[in-house]
Amino acid sequence: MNRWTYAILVLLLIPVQTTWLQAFGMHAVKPDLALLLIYFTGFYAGELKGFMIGGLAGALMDLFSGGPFGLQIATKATAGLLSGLLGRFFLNATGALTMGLVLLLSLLTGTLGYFFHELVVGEIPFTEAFRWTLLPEALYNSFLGGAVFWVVIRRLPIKQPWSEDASFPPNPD
Amino acid sequence: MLRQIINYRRFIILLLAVLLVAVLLFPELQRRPVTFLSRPVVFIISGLQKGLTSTTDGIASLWKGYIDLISVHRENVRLKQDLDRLQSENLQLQEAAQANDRLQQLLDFKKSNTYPMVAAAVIGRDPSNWYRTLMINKGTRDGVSIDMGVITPVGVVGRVIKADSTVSQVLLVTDRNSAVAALIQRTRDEGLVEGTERGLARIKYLSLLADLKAGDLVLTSGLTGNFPKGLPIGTLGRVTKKELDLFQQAEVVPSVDFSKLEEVLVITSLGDRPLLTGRPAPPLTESPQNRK
Repeated sequence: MNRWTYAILVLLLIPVQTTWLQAFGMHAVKPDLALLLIYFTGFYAGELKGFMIGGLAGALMDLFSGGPFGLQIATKATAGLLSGLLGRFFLNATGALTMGLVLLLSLLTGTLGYFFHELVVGEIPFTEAFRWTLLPEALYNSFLGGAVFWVVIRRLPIKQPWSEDASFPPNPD
Repeated sequence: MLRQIINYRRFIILLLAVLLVAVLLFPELQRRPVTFLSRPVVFIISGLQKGLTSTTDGIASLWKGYIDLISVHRENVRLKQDLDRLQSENLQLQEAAQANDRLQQLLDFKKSNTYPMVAAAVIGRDPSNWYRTLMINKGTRDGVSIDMGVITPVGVVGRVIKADSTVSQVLLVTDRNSAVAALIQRTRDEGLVEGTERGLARIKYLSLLADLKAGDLVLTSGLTGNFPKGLPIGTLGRVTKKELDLFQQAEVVPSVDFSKLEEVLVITSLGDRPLLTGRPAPPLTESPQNRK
């Protein structure tokens, strides 16, 4: 994807996330479209692009969120970096693998977000946050990530740029 | 053989001549041969006619049916388009009627209260799952500033935490960072309503002696914050009373359905009582410590 496509996707992300997606919320939890965009960008285009798109999407989310500015930047940029690293470990992803990785990424960045939030605002027991926010959101993201993979990503001629010439485990030569 | 045929012919000619004479002699018989002749001819021709007519009719009917079918199909398409348009118009009118009802309620509520309010439409919600906020289409240009209370005729919605020139962000009472001074209508016990992780609310710091019951109405106490006294917040749910605790607390079921909120009122002044804002509205990047 070129930079204009990324720009349009990131700009569309916030209106969709703050308006239409509310209709798909379950028990006050909605999927995180930004995380999915960041995951697929990082996984298929590398950690640098994932990091940058994560930072940009996070900044926009911070502007429209009730939280302290910077929380989403930090968590989403980390998500981009992590998904890029995951993309180097896993080549030729399947739907099930995508679901598993999105679940893991969502839980990791959610936990990171929780600790950032605790540093700034505080007073939420982790068990409650995990039960009512982190886990439902991660599950929701995971299912949606699998669906996006099956419906969109699988049909697109997307290849990880390092998949053709790189070997894993790395060749000792 | 030939002679027999010739004899036959003669006999037939003779018979015909006798018949002709008989017919000529008896006028009433003049019609009979016509009848005898006409009956089979008419039968055959009329049969053919009927057949032809019915075939023609059938073809005509088929053609007419086909032509009609085309026009019916066209008409059907047109009627379906009309139906779709009318259904859409009907939905729009229903929507407009509902919006009119809601706005009328807001207007009535606004008129029935002395403090000035600004009506605003909800244009978005928080993009993350960590906070429960709303974006409204009114900002500092319309007189909205930070910490102003936001309500509907049904009850308390929350308070403004960020205000830009044209839009503002409202922290809902169900957010964990929200706190509204409240009292129980029946017992007059006072407490603090906070949001919970589950998107509900709870009232804390209630006296252990307070006789609380599920269903009790929770109202704003008007002591702190920028809400007038007596606005409904919700009703009491499960009451938690532990022996070693200093206070008891209870779940509060908000009276406002935040998932269906479309219009709200921002209280810009409490009449004689000054609002506790006092801060100029910064751009949409206020730190969360200000909300505590």
